[in-house]
Amino acid sequence: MFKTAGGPGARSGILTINGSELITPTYFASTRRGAIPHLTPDNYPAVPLATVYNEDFHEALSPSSKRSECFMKREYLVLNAKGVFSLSSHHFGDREKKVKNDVDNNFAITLHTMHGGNSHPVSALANDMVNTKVDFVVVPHDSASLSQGSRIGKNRVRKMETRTLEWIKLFRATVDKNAPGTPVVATINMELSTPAFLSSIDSMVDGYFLIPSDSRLADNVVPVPDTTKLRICGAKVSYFDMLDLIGKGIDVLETQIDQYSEAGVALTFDLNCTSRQFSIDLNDSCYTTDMSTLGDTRFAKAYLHHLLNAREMTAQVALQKHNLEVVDKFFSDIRNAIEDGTFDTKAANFKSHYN
Amino acid sequence: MAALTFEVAAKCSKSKARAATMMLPHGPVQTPVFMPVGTQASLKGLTPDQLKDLGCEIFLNNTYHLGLKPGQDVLDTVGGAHALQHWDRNILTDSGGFQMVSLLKLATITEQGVGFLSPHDNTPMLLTPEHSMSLQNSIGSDIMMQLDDVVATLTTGPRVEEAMWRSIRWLDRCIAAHKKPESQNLFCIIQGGLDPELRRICCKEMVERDTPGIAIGGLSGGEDKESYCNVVDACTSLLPENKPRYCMGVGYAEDLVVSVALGADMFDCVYPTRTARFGTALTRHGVLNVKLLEYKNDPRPLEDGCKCPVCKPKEEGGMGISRGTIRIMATRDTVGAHLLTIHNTWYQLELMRTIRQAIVEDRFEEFVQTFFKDKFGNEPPAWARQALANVNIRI
Ligand SMILES: [Zn+2]
Repeated sequence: MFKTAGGPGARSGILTINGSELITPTYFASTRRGAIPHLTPDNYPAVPLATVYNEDFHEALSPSSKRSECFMKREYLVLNAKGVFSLSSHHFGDREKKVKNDVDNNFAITLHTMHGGNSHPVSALANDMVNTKVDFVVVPHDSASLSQGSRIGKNRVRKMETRTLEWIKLFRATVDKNAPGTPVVATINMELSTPAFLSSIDSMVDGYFLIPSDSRLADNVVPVPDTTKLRICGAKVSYFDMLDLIGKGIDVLETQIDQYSEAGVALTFDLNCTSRQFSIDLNDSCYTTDMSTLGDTRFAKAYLHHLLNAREMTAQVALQKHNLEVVDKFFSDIRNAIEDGTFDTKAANFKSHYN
Repeated sequence: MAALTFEVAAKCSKSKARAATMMLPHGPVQTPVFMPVGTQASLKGLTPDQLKDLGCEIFLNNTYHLGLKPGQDVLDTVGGAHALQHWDRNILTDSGGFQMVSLLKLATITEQGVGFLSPHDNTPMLLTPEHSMSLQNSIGSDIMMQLDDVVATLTTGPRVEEAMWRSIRWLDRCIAAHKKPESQNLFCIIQGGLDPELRRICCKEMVERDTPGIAIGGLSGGEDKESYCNVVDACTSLLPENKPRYCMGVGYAEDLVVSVALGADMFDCVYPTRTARFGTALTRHGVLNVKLLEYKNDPRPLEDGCKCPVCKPKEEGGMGISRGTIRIMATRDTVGAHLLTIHNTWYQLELMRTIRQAIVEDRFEEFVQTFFKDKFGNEPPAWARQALANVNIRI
């Protein structure tokens, strides 16, 4: 699935998806119900990777049924992506509020669906995630629900390890039975990233989906295990932190565009610091009559300002399209910089230029 | 002096339907044409490029809304609505009057104009024919509409006649106030309610004013379909052959087909885009409420054989999206609304292109028969049967 020359620091690699090769570092786009928010697939070039949440496709299919069912199918995705992987939003908990424990017991997880939370057997979740014909699946892990700064007891860590290990085995078996060859990626946080635990699962997994511990969510500190397997950063981090993480050998990161586009903000940064500003807020009245176009788009800033002011949905469409292009170029520049040995310098310049 | 030419390319040998090419400052428009409505200089969620890809040659902006946002000063500074939205094809604007009467409860009409309270700070404002022309000149629309005295369609009595005569006087004021007749076309609006005699007088008076195009107004306001058809039929018979005829606010497919048979050329309506946002797809067999559970996992496109970018298979360069997929997104995500908006807008434009082709090949009657059969089976609505029979088409 993944090959890298490795080495300390930023690394490049080749991720083989569906027979085609993606050069890393690269990014994945988050979706809602299988689509990049606001964008129909005719509106952007293929993104390298996108993640889909099975919960988005859960529905109580009759009024009497207590539990919702998953009906996600790969062909349902309104998506233009070279690779698609399946994730459970259980990985993230409720980031805005208090993180809550979604693990019910050794065999069940609470899924947050359109119909509220309900408990699902992990085996059913594995079946759902594997059967959708995605390019790889990410196994959920057990995490502890903690307030920030508090520590997890030894017994709790042991329980987390046991469950996470069991679930990896379960997913592996499900894949081997239903979709042989589909890579399996393990979710790891700080507590689970000990060398002993990693060595116990390494032979069963094709990569690692790295997230902060519950207690450190706000800091977005993710573990970087010593491995030549794929390292995906599952935390929502700033573009500055992305450079740090790539510098530590992370291969895949999540785009952060939705929140900017929805707020009316256009990203304008680039790795080579050719622009003055990191981003511009098109709500600002200084753009009322500014007829210069935004980046490479055909949209005048005055038009985007008007659309935002008039609360027209086309504003978010145009900004999403533009912001995705900026991120795509950012990653392409990162790959070039790693190639020509200038990554560390450029990353440092980027921070001092835009901070 | 007009910035418009209208060349009739073909006429139906039975009905009053005709196919024409209307040349406007921003390119040709093939008629009969449906014009989607982009109220605030944007067709809900679609980029100008996407709208172009659907083959749209003209769409609407609303003067009232653009007058509020971005406002006339901004429009003057940026060089009008085409430049602002990077749209190099045609735009039609309404006068702003209808929007006021329908949106603002306290609109009052006097000889001077339409009085209303500012939505910003409730101060009394007045939209006069001169002000409407000035705003539409700032927008730079290819077709602009006169300010007319709008009365509810079902109004009867002297108010209807008063509104008709006032609309004629306001047309004169609009013509006098219009600053760019060489690059923008002012259309008059025939009034007169459901009274054939008033309609006749209004047609005569307005035709004498020799505007580049003519709208039939005061309809689509809750009147029965027979009355609507009678007015359109009566007006088109009184209007010159060499000018485009615009039926305002018409958008249901069967209304479009019948109105074309009655000799109308241009139509607009928010219906296809509004209904998209409620999860409804337009098809030749009628509307499809794609939110329903019965479309779960349905692999068929919204309409079999539809060549819109949403339904067209991936192998043919489309998105190849199924009902099952749209069911999940409709009314939940903006992407679902965008997909239905693309399909519905295509449906309307393609319907008109198909109609036009049928007229050109003089098989319009056959087209109308198939259309009603597909949509209503063996029971077409009585009003349509009657209206079509009046122009020698049997369904
Ligand atoms: Zn379609």
